[in-house]
Amino acid sequence: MLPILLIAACLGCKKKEPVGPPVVVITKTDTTFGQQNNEHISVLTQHNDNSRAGLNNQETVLTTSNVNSSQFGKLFSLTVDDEVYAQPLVVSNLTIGSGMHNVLFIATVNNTVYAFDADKGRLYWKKNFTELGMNPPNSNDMASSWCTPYNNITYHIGIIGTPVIDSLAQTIYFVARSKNGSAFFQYLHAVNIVTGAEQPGSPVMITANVPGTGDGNINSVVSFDPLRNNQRQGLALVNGVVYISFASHCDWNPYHGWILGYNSTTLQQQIVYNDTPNGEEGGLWESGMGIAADPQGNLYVVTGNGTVGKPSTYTGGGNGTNETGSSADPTDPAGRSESAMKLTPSGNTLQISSYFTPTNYVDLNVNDLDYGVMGTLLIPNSSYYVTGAKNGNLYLLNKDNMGGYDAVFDHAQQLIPLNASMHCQPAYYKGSTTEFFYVWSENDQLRAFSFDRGSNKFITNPIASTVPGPTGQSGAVLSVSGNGTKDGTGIVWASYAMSGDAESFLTPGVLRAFDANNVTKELWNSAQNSADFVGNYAKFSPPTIANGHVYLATFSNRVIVYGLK
Amino acid sequence: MLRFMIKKNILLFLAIVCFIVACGKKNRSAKVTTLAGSGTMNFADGKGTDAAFSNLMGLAIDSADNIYVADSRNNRIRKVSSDGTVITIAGSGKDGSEDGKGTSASFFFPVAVATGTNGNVYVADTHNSLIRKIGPDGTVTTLVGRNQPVKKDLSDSLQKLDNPYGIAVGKDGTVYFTDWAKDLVCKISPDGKLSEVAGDGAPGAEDGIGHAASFYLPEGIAVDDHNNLYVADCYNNTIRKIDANGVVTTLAGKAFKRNQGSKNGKGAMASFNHPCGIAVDQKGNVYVADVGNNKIRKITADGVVSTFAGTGQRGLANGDVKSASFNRPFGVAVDRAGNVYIADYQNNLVRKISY
Repeated sequence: MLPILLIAACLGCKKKEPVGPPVVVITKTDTTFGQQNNEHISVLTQHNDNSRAGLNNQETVLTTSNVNSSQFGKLFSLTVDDEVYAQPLVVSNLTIGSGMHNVLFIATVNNTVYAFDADKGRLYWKKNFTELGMNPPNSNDMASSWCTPYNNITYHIGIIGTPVIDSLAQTIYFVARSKNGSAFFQYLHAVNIVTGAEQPGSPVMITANVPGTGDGNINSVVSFDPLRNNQRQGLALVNGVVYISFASHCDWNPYHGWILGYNSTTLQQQIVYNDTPNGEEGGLWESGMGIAADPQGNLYVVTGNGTVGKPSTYTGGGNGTNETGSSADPTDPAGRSESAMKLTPSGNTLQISSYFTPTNYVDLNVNDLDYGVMGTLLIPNSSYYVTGAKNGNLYLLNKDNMGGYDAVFDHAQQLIPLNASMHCQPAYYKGSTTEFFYVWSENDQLRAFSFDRGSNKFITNPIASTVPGPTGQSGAVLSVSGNGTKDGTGIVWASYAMSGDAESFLTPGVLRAFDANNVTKELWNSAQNSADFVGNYAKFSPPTIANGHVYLATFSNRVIVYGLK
Repeated sequence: MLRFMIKKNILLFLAIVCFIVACGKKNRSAKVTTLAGSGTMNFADGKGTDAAFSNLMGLAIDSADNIYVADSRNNRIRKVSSDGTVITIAGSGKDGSEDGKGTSASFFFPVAVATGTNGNVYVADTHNSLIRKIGPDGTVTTLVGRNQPVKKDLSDSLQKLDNPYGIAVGKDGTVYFTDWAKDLVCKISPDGKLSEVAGDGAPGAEDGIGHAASFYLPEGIAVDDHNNLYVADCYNNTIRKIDANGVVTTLAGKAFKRNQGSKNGKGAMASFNHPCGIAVDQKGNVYVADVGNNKIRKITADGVVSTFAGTGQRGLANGDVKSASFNRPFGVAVDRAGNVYIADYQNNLVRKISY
């Protein structure tokens, strides 16, 4: 009788509370939590780690066999108070809510941060970080001579860049923006991930100054502008320093590209770097991708239009770059727009250890063909860094010897024409036989380039999907999941606007899954079943894959959670 | 009287016949077919679907109705005969800028081709920023562009091209090309002299004479028998005309911010979305590969724009022009009989539109 009762009780439990896929617990030593299992993977930073490869290679639930329209789909959605630009992050096995749970962190443009149970959707805490008595800035504040109305961001402009989490310190770092009338502020917050409370010393107002005669200088001092400087890139936590980069809103001058570094414990500012102190512009934004970094603490970034070397014809004011002529010295490190850079901390700033500026930087400036547009990534376990420009070219660079500037030839490791504008986030995967770099820019196809370790170049004829891709001026944002290099587990996840131009308009989104070893094989997409509908596409927010779930931000005030049904 | 009536009836009969023939011709619908290509991004010579291209972009037709293809991602120039047989006339497949014969030469993402006199084929070797010439025997030489280091005091900026995207050859052998990133239209006269035709070197949409005019990342270019040039002014989403005196006007479309569209109509009433390829027939009709709209548009000599083929949806359907579909058609060419050929970029196909 007892066994029957137990079985009945178990069945009853199942009915009451549906459970997800079985969890396989594999206990190993882990520096983060003391124990690890393969179903408890954290995603603590934009695109998984500082290489920005966008790869979770410890996904053991989702496979190419079970991600299909009959087994995989929307499980639930999490309602939030505004649009979500930041990639959702996951901390696994966090002691919270009287137990250990996988927790999902979501930040909205209304400056609200949420901590949800990543598996069941329970809200642990939420908190709004708009300064007391203030409001988040909005798109009307960014109207300028080029962009009226300004519609690159729909309305609120609170937390845009993806936060970064220090799991040991149990702290999430992010930049929230507030305004009080015509006064604008940006604050770096360090918040306890268990309680939502500010950590000691948090927040700190973001300010910065460098000596320089560039655009907007006052008495030869160039200052950070909390109104014009747009914090789009994901933050990076590198060797105890939280790095934050800035570009602009629609090239609204005067502005400069900045990287600021804050001690992750004290929140003291310890790095200030401006890429055009004597010139203009040089924004860093990378379609929202996080700042890439290596274990030695070097940062890898790309910059948009603006001053290259010594300023030339720049006159200040207006919108767009005034740098329409050749520089007297394009190699002058004080001006590094239209470039890729390896930056090494040195004292209280960053030094350029290596850089690449294309030969045709003037033409790029003149035609608004920013070099720094695509999210960049370091190919894991290699010396190579992939960048992409608005002129439609992928530039593969040796990260330690990028090629500098040459008036005649580009000394990039490899140049691959893609014939599209590259407002996108690429990703990487290592399969059992082949390493792939995936990119899906607007008006192009999903392409998988295999990386040849012999030549350290991409094989130039990629595998391409024939699935219709994004149009307009906003490409796809990609992530990859797989169980190591095991065949049958690699999946490329692509999120983009199903129609229309997501650059400036709300558009319905679509999430697609492809076999990572053969992207001509689509496994699933959110349009196959109306229940899986995404809502409005969240520009520059790639899917997060962790613990058998796919978390997708939207501009419909919710985050969708997909998984095995 | 009877004679008169017979004559009248004969005339009436002839008139009816003429009317029926005329109506039949007018109502005759053009059909889209696939001339060559497997559809898979690859490289293969062969007939029809045995052949393969990789993101082909430009097309040109010679006097014998052979079609030349800038097979961009294969870094090769291909030739398609009227029965769909594809051969490779130049390019090793590796990216490079080697001159030489046939497949010993190399290109880097050539985007456009044009046919000239004496069997010469001209190539906009885009990512080498060179203009190349392929002789009748397949020998590739470099016509214009800087592929060697130059001294800093070289003042002629034209020596350094920046991504030529379109190319055309006039009856007198003059080669015209667009310099995409320099926003210029240039020409190489038969004696080899390089000069600028129009554009001030900065992005803009000004009409005017020569350097007073401006373009924004111009791509395709075509020339008619009267030496009028037609330019697909890609980022302005307009079609420009440059007459033999260098006067630049806007034939169709209107340049303003976010002006993409697919409206038919006359002149400025019409709109385009990333027009890239362009061709002109003997009657002065201009055909435009309207890439972003996945359509082929037709512009009459007086500037009336209509949709010639394509539903607008991405696809590879053959059949009636109204139901056929393309996937980012970048190149267009028209032969003497009025057949139109399309470089269907993402379908990796050469398509043909004929009556």
